[in-house]
Amino acid sequence: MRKLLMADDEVGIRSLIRMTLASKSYEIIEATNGFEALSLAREHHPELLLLDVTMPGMSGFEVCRTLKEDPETASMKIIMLTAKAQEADVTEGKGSGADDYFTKPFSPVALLRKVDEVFAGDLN
Amino acid sequence: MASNSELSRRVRAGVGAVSVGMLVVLSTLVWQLVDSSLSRRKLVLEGNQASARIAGALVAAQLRNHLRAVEGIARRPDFEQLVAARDWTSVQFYLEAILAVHPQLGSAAVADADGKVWARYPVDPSIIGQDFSSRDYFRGAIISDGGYVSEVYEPEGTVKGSVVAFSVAVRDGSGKFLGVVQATLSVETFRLLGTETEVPNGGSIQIFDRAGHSVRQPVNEPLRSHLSNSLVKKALAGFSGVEESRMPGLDGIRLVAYVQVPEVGWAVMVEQSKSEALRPIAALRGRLAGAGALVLLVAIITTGIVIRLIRKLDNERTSSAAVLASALDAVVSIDHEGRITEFNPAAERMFGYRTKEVIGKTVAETIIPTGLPNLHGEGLNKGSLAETTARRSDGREFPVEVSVSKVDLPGTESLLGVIRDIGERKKAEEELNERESYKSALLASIAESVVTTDPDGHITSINPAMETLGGWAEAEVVGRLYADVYSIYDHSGRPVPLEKRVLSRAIKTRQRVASNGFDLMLITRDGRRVPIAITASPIIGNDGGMLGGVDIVRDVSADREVDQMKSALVSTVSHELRTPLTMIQGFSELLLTRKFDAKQSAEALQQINASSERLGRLIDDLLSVSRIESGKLAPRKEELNLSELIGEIAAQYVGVRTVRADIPRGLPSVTADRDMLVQILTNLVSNAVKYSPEAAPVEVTAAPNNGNIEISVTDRGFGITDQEMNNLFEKFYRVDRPEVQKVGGTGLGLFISRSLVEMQGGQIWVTSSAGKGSTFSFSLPVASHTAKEKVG
Repeated sequence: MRKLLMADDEVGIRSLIRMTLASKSYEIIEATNGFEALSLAREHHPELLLLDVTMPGMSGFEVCRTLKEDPETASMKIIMLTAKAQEADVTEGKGSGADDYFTKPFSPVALLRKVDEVFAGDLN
Repeated sequence: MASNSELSRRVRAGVGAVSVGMLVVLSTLVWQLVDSSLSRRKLVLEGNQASARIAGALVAAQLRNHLRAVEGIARRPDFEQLVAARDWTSVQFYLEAILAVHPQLGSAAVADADGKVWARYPVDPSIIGQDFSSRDYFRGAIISDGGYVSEVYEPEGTVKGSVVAFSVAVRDGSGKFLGVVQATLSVETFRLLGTETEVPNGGSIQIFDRAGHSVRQPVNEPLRSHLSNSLVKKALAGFSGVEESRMPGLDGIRLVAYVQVPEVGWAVMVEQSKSEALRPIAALRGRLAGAGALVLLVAIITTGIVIRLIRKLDNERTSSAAVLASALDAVVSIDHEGRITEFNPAAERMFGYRTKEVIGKTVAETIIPTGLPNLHGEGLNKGSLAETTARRSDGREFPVEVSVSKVDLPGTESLLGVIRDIGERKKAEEELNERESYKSALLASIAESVVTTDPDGHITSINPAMETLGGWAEAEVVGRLYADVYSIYDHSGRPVPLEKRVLSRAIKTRQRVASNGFDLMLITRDGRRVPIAITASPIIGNDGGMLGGVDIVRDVSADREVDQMKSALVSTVSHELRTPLTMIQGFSELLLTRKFDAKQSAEALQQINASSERLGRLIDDLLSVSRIESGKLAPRKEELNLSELIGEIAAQYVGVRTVRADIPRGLPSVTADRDMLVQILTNLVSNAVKYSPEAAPVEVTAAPNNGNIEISVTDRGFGITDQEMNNLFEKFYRVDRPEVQKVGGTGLGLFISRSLVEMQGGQIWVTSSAGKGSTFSFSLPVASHTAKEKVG
């Protein structure tokens, strides 16, 4: 079973993402903070991660960087989700090695499409 | 200067002496020359005269001699008889005898009273019987008493060359004329005469007979009379003398001494070339002239030098006088007693005295202020410049700068002082000092840190505020490069090099440049990083030249914090707003695009609903904050029943959380604004509920205390640390703990609560023990039983 990890400290957002992506045939693993996201990612090796930037403790950027720098987890695709849209954060986001970047509020449909792309691409 | 004229006087005397000396020497030379020339000439001439006399005497002697010889014969009685008897043969024997005794005679002859010659020796038949009565010697013999010397003539017959005849008349006892005896002498003998008495310098002795014939004439030349020669004539006339004359047949002017031959009436002249004779004189003259010329030359040169020297001295004298007259500084000379000997025009102006008023007076009486000691002595001791006070004629004292020197002159000791009025300068200096201290005080009083540099970036000054900010004292940094002393980092953490510094840019562009934002960091001496903002301006002189730059450095830590807080606020607000927005948008989109079952739909809608409310609360809170900050809130004063109020709020949580309200009965009412109180309580209670476990109860209590009612909301949550307590009531502060962050909140609640409490005259505080729980309390005044008042 293909796996997808999502991390967001807001329960409501998690619920939204769950409902958005649940119809597809991949397992969704949920984390509520950065540390959790990191350990779960190492444990389950998801193909794709959806990380909220603003999480207490370890931020989404840090998780992303850490995973990307680790050769074992570097191949994971990471999409950042954040409410911050300032230029600095976008740059930082790109600099952290994330593969894509969604600003809140985002369209679930768009997110879904993106996720499909990622998984479809892997199939090819 | 006195000394100068003294000097020139001496020099002039010297020149005079030299001139006189020269003159004497020259005169002597000239006199010498003239004298020796004259005496030499005299010598020559006298010599010539002497020679002439000697020659004359010799000629006379010779002639006389020969004449006597003939006389001797003629007077012999036996000879007379023979002649009377006309015994010419015997006469001839006598003639022979004469010639034998006097071999110089060339011939001898006797003529009878008629003049016919009957006897002759050497025999010459051609003559015998010839009539010679017309002859000079014949006639001469008759008329002269003694013998007669004839003129020079060329005889007939065998004798060659010119001769002179000596003739004597033969007379008998009674005196009757019988005839003439005659003998001839060749003039050749006279020619030899010249060689016996040498005449130097190519001169010669000239002998002339009575007719002016030159006796010494060369043989080949015909007899000629020289009577045209005035000197010959003079001599024949009996005069003697020395004269310069030209002589025919001789070169140049001759010095001629002429004399008459005594008894005979002939003339003798000794002549020589004048130039030859006087050549030594000429040479001497030449030498003397040369010496004279030399002396003259020397004299001229010396005089020239001396004149120039005098003129120079004169010039110096007048120029130094002119210098003194025109000098702006006062120049005063004094003698060893301190009496003024010189006082230039500038001194007159400076001190208000005329020169003649002060000459002879001491400086102490005139220009030194009373009470000041030896001015000149002091000046000397100090060497060059000394600052002191001087006194004008009107008594006013003024500051001066004096330079004193000793003047070395033989015989006198004098001191020269140059005095400058420095009143203006002193005033300017004082003003400058005042301005400087004002500037320093100004800079010191500015709160901003100020650094000034030269155009190349070397620090020229820093003010006390900069010393404090940077940690270095001004003395430690002046002269060093700004960039070397103060390290500044930009927002990316890299050090800013000199040329990129705000100050360098200002100097380069000649315009004011300010840094942006709060990202520049100054590294202080002790290594702290201080956020700064810099405004730099170039310092441009009046002529447009770049004098340097000035940096105003502001510690913007506070501003930065505010700015950062604002940024944080913006991002927090943004985040807080977006999260519920995301859910509203997201779920509504899902509902629109998906087929959800009832459960899913219900959840989606629930989320939308909750998020809307959340958004609403946030907006409300933001508005509250805005209102609070605007200062326009005016709390109402109402009498409120707490237990009722609290009860209402607690009721909201029924089914969700246990909120116990423990309000004692009979609690007095409070004076408060109802809405505000509700807001406060709602906030505190919701906090308590949010930040404590679900099972934990929340308690609300109230109790009177000291004219107030204190209301407390207690939870059994994780507690709050002392650190956190410091910031708890600040805007957007949310405890940085996952439990808190997870729950969500605006961070504005406590800020609003505090503002509202304090606005109504109350206080709010919290007590907590970590891990156990917290109690938030606030106080409100007890309602006075007077009616509701609106307090503005």
